[in-house]
Amino acid sequence: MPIVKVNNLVKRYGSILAVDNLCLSIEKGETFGLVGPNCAGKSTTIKMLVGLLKPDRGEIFINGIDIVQNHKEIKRNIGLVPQDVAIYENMSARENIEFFGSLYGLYGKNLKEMASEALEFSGLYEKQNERPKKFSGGMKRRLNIACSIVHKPQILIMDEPTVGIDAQSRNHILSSVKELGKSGTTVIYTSHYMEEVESLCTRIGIVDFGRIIAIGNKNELKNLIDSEEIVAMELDNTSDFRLDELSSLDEVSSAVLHGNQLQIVTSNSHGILQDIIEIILRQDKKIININLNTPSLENVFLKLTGRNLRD
Amino acid sequence: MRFYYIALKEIKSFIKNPYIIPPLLIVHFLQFVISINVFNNFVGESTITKNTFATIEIINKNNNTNIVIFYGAFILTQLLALSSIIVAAYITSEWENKTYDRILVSPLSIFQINIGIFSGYITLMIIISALFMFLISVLYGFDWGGAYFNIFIITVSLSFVCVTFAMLISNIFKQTKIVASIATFTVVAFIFLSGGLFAGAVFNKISRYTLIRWAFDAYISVIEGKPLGSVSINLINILLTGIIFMAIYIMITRKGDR
Ligand SMILES: Nc1ncnc2c1ncn2[C@@H]1O[C@H](COP(=O)(O)OP(=O)(O)OP(=O)(O)O)[C@@H](O)[C@H]1O
Ligand SMILES: [Mg+2]
Repeated sequence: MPIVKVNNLVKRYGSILAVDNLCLSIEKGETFGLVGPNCAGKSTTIKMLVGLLKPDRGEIFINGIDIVQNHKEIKRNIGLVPQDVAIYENMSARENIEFFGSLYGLYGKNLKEMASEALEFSGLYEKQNERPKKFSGGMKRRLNIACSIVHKPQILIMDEPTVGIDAQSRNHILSSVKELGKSGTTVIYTSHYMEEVESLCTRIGIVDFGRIIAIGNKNELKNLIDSEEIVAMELDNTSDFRLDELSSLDEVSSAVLHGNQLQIVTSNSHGILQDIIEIILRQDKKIININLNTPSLENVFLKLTGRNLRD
Repeated sequence: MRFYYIALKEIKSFIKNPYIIPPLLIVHFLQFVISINVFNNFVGESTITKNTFATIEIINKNNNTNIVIFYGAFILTQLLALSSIIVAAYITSEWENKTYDRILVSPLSIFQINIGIFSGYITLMIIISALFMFLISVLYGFDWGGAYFNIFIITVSLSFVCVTFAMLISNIFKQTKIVASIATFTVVAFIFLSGGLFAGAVFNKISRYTLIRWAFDAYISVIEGKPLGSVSINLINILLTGIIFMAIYIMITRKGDR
């Protein structure tokens, strides 16, 4: 049984169709990425999942239970990291976490311990008594996450948790999401950064205009486009270089030289990179630079919609 | 009982902000002292004008209420009314900061959340009024007459209206700046019309329709030692207003997505 099941979800804001017959099924323990451009309807979908918005049409089942029927039981198992940082500026980091924890029925020593865990998890333990007023954007984002994981939810829904922050905080957040995924938490992660979703998620749904236009793991998605890759190399010199040795490799469709630049087009760069390097070394050439151009999910989006994910 | 955490949080964040309660108390204490002085030094001794007749009239109605009791009661009422502006701004800012969404996502029901906010701010208003009462009795020797239970009942009723008013307008207008200006305009207009600022010398007729007047008349009566029954009409009016506010609030929140 999928832990999250969404059938034909529809939501309109006046004349704007924000979510259009969206269907989704997420298994327990997955880290599911929901990726799409601005205004694709990601946040709207998430707000309906957590019960902040009522769908115009469609059904949402969490753990097999219709959320309309049994809201309370379900809400206990969900953590939401909202897109906008939602914390109390006039309360310390710990007070924020403890307040939200208390709403989930935690109290006393247990609450204190869970709050400490969340603080450590988000790397804010040293700053626990400081008010977020003084925090950097990245630290606020981390506190925003800590407030949603204090009760150890089964399902963690994160709405663009890394928007507009420094690289360090971003890496911290990404690795914590990985950690949560490993510990068995089902994570739903929205973003408009393909590379984030690509590195984090076991399965990805691409949303555009309120619909899922493609879904699958990253290889399945990449297979949607012709998956030619280009290996570009710079060699120290290319005199007497025997290109035919490379061209004759099974999965190489072409190999050309432009001065010291070698370009190999292949359908499986990972599989044959070793062979390519060995051939070059056997011919006593030095490799100065290697560049691997694999198709990215950005290319998938471009192919499917004719637009770039971000302008 | 988890709504208790919401109530506690509201109270804490209000109390911890040094720019709210202390200035509120100081300003009202000063207003109290200055009003009495002005009345005694100028109005009391000046040639009797039409206005002061009205003053004497209203004060006579309250069984020879002295001006000190009058201003004590009025300024206590005004303090609570003005606090409701700050409460409204606080509630709205919680929506703007999206922290309210976070509370809505938790397993608490809307009812528990509302009760939490509601009880938190009512408690806060009771605390503020108690502090003010304490302040003027210690610094000025104001005599509250000992009927603390009756005073408490009036304070609770008045706080009930103030908080439902705050919740209602923050729900209708949804933006801190708009809510704060509308609340300020409404509250100040009613304080003005209640005639309390002029010791009842003006607006004597209109003031009978203002909630502020119902409240401070009730305070005056119980401070003077009259039973709660003698102000039952005032209390019923106050509570009814609160219930109407609350009913509209519930109607609005039922309809919306939140
Ligand atoms: N409260 C609202 N009132 C009216 N329209 C809205 C509201 N919220 C969202 N919309 C519209 O619904 C559509 C989907 O918005 P949504 O916020 O779900 O997109 P998103 O995928 O989360 O985008 P972003 O990446 O910018 O967060 C947009 O066209 C947006 O303008
Ligand atoms: Mg969004």
